[in-house]
Amino acid sequence: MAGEKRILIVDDQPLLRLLVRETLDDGSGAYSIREACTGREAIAAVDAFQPQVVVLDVMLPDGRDGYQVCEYIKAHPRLGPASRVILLTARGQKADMARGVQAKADHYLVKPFSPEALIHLVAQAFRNITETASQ
Amino acid sequence: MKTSGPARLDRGRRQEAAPAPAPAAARLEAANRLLAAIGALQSRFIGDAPMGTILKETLESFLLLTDSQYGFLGEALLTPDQLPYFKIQALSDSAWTDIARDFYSRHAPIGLEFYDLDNLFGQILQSGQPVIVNDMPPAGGALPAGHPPMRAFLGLPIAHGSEVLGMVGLANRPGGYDRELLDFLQPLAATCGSLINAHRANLWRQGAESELRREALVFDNISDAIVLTDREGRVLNCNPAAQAALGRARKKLLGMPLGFLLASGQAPERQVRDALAAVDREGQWQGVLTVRPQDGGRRIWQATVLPLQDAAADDNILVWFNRDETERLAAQAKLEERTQELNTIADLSPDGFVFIDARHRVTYVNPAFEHMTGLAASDLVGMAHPALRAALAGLCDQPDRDDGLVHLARPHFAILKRTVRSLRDDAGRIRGTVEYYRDVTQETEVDRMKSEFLSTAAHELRTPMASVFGFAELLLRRRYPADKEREFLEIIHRQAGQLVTLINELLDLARIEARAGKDFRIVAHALAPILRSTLDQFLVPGDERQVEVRLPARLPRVMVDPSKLQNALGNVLSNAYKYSMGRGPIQLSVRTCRTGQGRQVGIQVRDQGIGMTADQLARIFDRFYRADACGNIQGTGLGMSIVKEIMGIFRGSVDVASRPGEGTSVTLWLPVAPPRTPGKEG
Repeated sequence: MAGEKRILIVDDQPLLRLLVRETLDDGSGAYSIREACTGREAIAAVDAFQPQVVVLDVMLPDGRDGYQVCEYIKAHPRLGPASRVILLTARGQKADMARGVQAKADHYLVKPFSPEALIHLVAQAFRNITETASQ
Repeated sequence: MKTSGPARLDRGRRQEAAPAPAPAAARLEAANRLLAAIGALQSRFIGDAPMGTILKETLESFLLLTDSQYGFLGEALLTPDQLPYFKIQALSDSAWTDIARDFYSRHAPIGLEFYDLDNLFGQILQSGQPVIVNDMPPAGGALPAGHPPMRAFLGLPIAHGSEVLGMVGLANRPGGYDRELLDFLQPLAATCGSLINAHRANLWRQGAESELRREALVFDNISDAIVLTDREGRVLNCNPAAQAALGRARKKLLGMPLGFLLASGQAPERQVRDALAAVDREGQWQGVLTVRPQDGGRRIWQATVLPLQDAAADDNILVWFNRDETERLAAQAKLEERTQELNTIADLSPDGFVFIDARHRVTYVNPAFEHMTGLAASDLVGMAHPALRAALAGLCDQPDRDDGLVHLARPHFAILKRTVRSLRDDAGRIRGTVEYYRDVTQETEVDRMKSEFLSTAAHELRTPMASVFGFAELLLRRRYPADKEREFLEIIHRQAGQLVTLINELLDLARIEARAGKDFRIVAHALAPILRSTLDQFLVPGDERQVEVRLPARLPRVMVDPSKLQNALGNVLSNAYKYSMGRGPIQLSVRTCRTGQGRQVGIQVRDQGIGMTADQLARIFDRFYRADACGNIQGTGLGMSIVKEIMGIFRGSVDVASRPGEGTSVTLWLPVAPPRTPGKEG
């Protein structure tokens, strides 16, 4: 599990989870991918799966939204510094982005998004983690 | 004749002047000279020569006619305090020393005045009798320095009738003075007296005339109306202002009883009588007169009546000073009326008003402001402005918001928009401030909801768009096995369909809201055909279940737009299918009941699906709300909103009952149409 590149996809829409999975999973098995569809599930998955990269929808049911999940990850003493959060949202207004910055998200991607852009962002995130860890 | 006079003259020996014999030719010549002198004097006076010049020439005549060496001529006058004094108006300058000349030149222009008349001058002036002193002893130091020597003296009073107006003094006639000379000089002295008297009368008349002219100027030009009446109130005179106010010429007003000029209904004669009685009793009267001008209308006079203050004039004249107050009173009445109007507006206004004066004190708050804030006017009036603001801030949870609005938390939630205006007078000085509070709670909430709706709508559109955009890009960039490719294409197709549905429903909702049912064609319609038609057209792909329909034998007619009712019922059926996939039958039944609003018919759709919690149920009509947390069930979250809007326009309602895991029942209540009128089929 140590050398694994783990990605958690959090979205309440099954089609969106499928889209993200299909985008990141090119069949090479480079990434280990898991999914969660509510905020609570996401937090449980973060603790259990310990992903380095989280692709996180903002609007989630069950009382915990994406910002709160992001804050949880970033406040995690061990996981926080070693993980990158890409917020994925259909809310593209300034106030929403500001809220994302406040929650210390690393990237903010507005739906609809280009799969190529997501692939690029995720790859960059892993490079960034490796560089940070090696310093 | 023993007299008292100046000390120096007392020493002289006085005697009655003895007539001197004169030849007839000499007497005739002297008489001619006298007449010539009198004629010259009169012509000088008629010619308006200055009185000083006339008196100087008169003195010269006296000196020439008597061969006197020198002399003087003066007037008996009164000081402003009515004290008699003697003033020398003409003084001969012959035979004087340099010192005397200096004295004379310093005093001559204004004359020499003597206030102490306990001497020879005073005796002559008081008695009116001439004095002759011949063979006067050498006076020595008794005469003032420079005074020429005096051997003989004649003091001759100048009178007009019995009034002594002055005197002439002559000195040093060779051989002295005598009675005959006195008689001889009498015509000249009398003429001189007449002229002085005429001159004085002239002066008095000129003074009186100029005073009269000044008074007439005031009388004619003052803006107050002045009317002079007799004691019976009949007009004796009136000034132009009075004539203008009364609209009548002076000659028409003269003799007219004042009561005739007053407005009827005020008992005019009695009013004038009372005023006249008050003047008799108290010396004056003040009051308001309403006069009626010739050309109609009314003028209001603030009148003061006084008796004419002139001892010489007829005491029976009264003066009525009248200040025209018509315009001022009209303006005041107008102002009061306007104030009343403004107060009424402020009292009735749904918006709050607070008036603050120039000293920053609250002077008025209207009832709407009291209602908005729960603060009592009796507590607020007189309060300093900052205290008022503090009281308002005390009603807010966040007083310092920067949106320019007052967000009241107490006594009830309200958002007030405050507008402040300065009240300025004509000179531009600030006389106070008006604060105007408008309740914008509803507008603000509507704005907030619109903005939220828009934001949510955009979100809902972006979600299916993300699938369409994303899967299409994957298909373009990568090669997939045929089955996967088909799966993605199906997703794209389905999500594009979802977009179309969403757009249609958004438009439906917007149209219903914007038109508020104006495009609904609501008519009495049989219910059964609408239900059948809806069920026939309803098809859920991939779900074999049929709706179990249980209808009573007779169905009532309802007031609906059939196509809109089909839309609403279709939405309810669609939800029933989606949320009960594989979980028992869906039932449709109809029942009627009597309510406060009349008979209603309820169309109930019941499923045995996943049901809803109480929280979910509470949000069922929220826009875009979906009970399905994970988005496994297709839908826009707008269906029930549309159903509710449609039922509202039908004057019906929607009841929803649900239990999690047991299913949901939705009932659409509709008003039953009134009984069919005979002869009309529907």
